Amino acid sequence: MGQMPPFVNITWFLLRFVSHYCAPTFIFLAGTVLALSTVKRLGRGESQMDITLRMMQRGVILLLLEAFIVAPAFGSSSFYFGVIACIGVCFIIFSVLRRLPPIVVLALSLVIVLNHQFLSLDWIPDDTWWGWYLRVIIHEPNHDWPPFTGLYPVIPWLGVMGLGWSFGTFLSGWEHSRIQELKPYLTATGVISLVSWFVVRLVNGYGNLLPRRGDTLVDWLYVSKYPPSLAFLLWTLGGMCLMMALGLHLQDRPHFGQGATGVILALGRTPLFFYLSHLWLYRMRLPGAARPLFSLPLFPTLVFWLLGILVLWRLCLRYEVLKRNYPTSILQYI
Amino acid sequence: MDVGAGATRQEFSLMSVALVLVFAGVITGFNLMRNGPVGPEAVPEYEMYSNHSFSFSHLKGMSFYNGSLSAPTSDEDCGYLVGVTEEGCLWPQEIIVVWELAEEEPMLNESLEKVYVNELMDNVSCVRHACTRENVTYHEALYENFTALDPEGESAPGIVAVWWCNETERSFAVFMLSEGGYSCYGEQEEAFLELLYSFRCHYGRWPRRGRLPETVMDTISVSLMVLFCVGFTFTYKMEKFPNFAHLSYATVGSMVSFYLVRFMRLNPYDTWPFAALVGGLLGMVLYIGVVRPVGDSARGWNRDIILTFTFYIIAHTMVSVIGMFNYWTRNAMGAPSTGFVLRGGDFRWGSLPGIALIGPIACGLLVVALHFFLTRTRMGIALRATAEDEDLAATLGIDVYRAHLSSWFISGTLSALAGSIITLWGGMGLGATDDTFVMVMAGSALGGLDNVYGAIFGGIFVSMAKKTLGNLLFMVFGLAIKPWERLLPIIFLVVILMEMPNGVTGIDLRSSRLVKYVQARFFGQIHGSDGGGVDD
Repeated sequence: MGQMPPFVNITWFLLRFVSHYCAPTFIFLAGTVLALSTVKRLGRGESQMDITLRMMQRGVILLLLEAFIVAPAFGSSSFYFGVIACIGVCFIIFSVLRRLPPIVVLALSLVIVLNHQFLSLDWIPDDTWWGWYLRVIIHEPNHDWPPFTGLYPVIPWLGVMGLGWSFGTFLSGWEHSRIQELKPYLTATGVISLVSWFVVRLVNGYGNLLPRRGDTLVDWLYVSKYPPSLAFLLWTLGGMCLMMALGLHLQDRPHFGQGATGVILALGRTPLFFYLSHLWLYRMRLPGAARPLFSLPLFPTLVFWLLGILVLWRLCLRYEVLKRNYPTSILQYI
Repeated sequence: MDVGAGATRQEFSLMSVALVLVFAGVITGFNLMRNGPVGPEAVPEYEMYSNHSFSFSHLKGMSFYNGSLSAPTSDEDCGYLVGVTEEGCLWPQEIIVVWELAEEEPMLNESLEKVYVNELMDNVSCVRHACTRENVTYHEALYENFTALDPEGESAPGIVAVWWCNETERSFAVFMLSEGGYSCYGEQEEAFLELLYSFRCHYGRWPRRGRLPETVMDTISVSLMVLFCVGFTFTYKMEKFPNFAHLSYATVGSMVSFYLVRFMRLNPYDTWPFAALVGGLLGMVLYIGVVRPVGDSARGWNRDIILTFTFYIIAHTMVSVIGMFNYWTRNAMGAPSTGFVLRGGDFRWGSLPGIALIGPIACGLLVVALHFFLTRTRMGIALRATAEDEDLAATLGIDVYRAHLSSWFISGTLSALAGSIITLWGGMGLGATDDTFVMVMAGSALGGLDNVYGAIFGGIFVSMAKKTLGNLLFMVFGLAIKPWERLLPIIFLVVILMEMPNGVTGIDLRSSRLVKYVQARFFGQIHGSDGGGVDD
């Protein structure tokens, strides 16, 4: 929200813009995995109550991780409501919502994604800390009343997770041998999303929490992430669908899982561990230290980022082995 | 139907998905008709300006430029800001803040005249409208709307406010002159008033009182470090785990002092008993609410590790709680509680402030009192017995619960008192305790984590060594070493734990080769159990 920050140039803007894919994909796939694991557990004979409690437990653990590991990495207080806390709350909500028929979950999610911009929280007082914080958590991300800050409100992202959940339940009924048949559907969804994004930005009304100010590339791409506008979600989730189609396409190629794809798969198998460790690795300073040990220009920063990826890759591989060796420990949640 | 999981493809049939899309489309269409395309109207956004020891919030998109007035004082005491809105914003186009030192409280009417004559404009006459008396951060202010008329008959509306801040002894003038025919009575006035009512002119400092001399600061710093180390060691000796929240008591103590001085108008020294009491009670609450329950459910290393992590989290949470307190004092009471110094309430002792004398004496007396308490009173002896062997102490009839409770009260009291003393000496901030805590751990480790008296030595040594080593490194490396200074406490801690894990009090001097050599060389005999000679 707010006015456009001064980007130094188009490269800087695009480097920031490319990171926009992370949160929607992360939350969407969290919903997908939640659905798949629920089906798996039900198949193993676990009771509904056990599954509900387990989801709640996971949600609470995510809230704790946000408060004590993620928020300090950003130099924020433990009250900061970030992406991990948002997923945690969504998990807790889904521990109950999941009992609804999948088609109802899909309908609710679509309604949320398409209509959350009309939500008005005027009935919640904004002159008390609890009212303010409640607004931040529900739908009004901001940094204006420390420590009650946050950028990932639950309502819109619950819709994204619901879409992911619906995709997961759909996948669970799909035969594994026919997985390649999903490729055209994913491609079509991705293309339709991107076309819809173009229309929404062109019309410059509904779906744009940040209206397009001009006709430069930056003007077209500068969409509201906090909270996520329809334009933002169409672009990012559309891109995600295309990436998934590309992944399926590559999956049958020889040498898949080696080289760069191997690194990406290793990082993707331990997403939360990767996320938590990358924050502290790239932060390069202890908790409480206000300034980094050094700062770099753009190109060395990219080299530094690549080196970091290599370190994280090795760390994720080791962590995967550790997690496999201790399947019932707390590591199962990370 | 197996709701919620394992949906089949039939559940996502083309028809059902189409129905869902229609349903979502209808709801969205209804909302679009009702609310329009953009949704709820956006409210103006504000951001904070904070510099020159004052702060205020202003409309987002407005940039402020510094200027200095021709006065023989630093720019913090005297200067002006020109705020200009970004291209595209409708209002306000320009806001100017002027501030300067005043030896005596100026008459506000005269200040207002001065603004019109000196600051506002040349060759312009002003038609002044209703003058109102308002409050700006507890100071009485004059606030007035006016219309400026230039010789050609062009008019421009404006607003001006003046007040004197007795805490920083500066007079302030804030004014806005509208250009381009915009009114000063609608949104412009709202933006101006937002700035005015959010103004905090005494942002935690007394500019007329200089810094304390280095030697005085070092003495107080060493005394406080001793207090912290003794308290930390005391808890470790009793409970066998490092209390990461030990310095949180200090922050709480400083906040108690801040509150009582700022809002209850107490003398800073009078707040010490209250701060000590709150710190002690907090310690007792932590023991009853955390340490005891954990001790009941876990034993040995498990207990120690759980408590160590728990207190790390408590320390972290305390920072957030203090942050909330700071927000409350800043916004509801108009006085920020970070970076404040209560030195303005101190008395003078010759050329020195009172804290230069009282601080070290108070710390010394507290340590001596603790010594007598531990060695001469029944409770103190019970405490030591409990620390040595809790089970044995219990069989001897000592109330170990009371002993633990007392130890938490004492360590909380010592730390909170130290925090209260800090408020008279240097600024207290949210993250101020992080570095200090590592120093405290280093001091306690150096003195021997089991030895309260060793902590006195450790506190003195670490505090002085940090200062000396910092200066030495600065002489060698210059400014480049500054960013690395924060690592010094950690390096101390690592070196001490590697070389002297039991601290200096754990070193057996009789087995030292140097001591043996001196004895053999100068006294002709060797003490010690090994009876061996001196190695060459």
